[in-house]
Amino acid sequence: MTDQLNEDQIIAHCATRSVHCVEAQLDTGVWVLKFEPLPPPAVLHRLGIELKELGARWTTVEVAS
Amino acid sequence: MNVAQQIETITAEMRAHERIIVAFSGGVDSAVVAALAFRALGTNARAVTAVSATLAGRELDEAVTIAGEIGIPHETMRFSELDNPKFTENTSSRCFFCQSMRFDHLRVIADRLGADVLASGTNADDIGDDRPGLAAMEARGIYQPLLKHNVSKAGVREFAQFLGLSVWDKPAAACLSSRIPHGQEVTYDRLKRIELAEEVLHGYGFRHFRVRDHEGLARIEVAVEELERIFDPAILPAITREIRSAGFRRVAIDLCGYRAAGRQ
Repeated sequence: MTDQLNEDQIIAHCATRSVHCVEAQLDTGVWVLKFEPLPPPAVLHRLGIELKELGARWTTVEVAS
Repeated sequence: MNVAQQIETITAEMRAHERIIVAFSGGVDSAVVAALAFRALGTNARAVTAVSATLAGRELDEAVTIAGEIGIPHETMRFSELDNPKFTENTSSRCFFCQSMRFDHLRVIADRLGADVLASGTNADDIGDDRPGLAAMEARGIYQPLLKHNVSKAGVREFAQFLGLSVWDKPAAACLSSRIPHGQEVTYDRLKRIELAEEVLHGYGFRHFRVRDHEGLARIEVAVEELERIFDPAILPAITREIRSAGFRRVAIDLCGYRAAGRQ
């Protein structure tokens, strides 16, 4: 499955859900997103499902250690 | 037919054999087959665990424990899928080559012990997925009693409860190479860091999870009901640090949560 989205589309989709995604980077086939602030897990999960439906195979969030 | 009757039917079928070797991972499926074989044949049934780099050390420990719980004689057999380039190149046929090697090695043991049957824990739900490993078993005439009698995964868990097996609710483990996307080479170092990373999650009490390895990016899947907890700021930074220490360059949490490998 080829990813059909680009960074701008992902950030724009997050904005439609009132979520501020500050970075979306494709790393070895995995979308790695950063948010400010980090939304609740239920919101993240819903976003993940929506982005998958839009063509992003694997969508993740990276949290600073 | 109720569970007791189904168990009696399969046990009676097993009694027709002199000796059975059960390919035994310590998961609930093979534990049920081992328990049924031991009921049927006593010490003429034997559980054999194939030990390789794709089997987590924790799984081996649990296999030893559950074999003791059942009472079935148990031994281990070592082999390395990593010696086979057809396996390490990690195509969609990877499981075919792995299971071919595994059961060819087990056949040697079966022949040594004079066992006429090699059995596996394949259940009726397994055939719904694309599983080339099943083709390897079928080509070798492996006895798959749960599949033959149309016992689903839920049915296997009912059997296990009926038989009093502690693993009745054990989450499916699957081999560690399933964490590496097809097309990316399976190596010892990758398998080891996956095992270490999953030990971290075990240590924090997670039950249903996978650490997928994307060229050193750890994509962590946890069950949807455990997503809330992994995002807990009291533990997530520490989990991230510990998984990086296992050898990953980057750690990220999958937003969709845990999905079985065939349903990615």
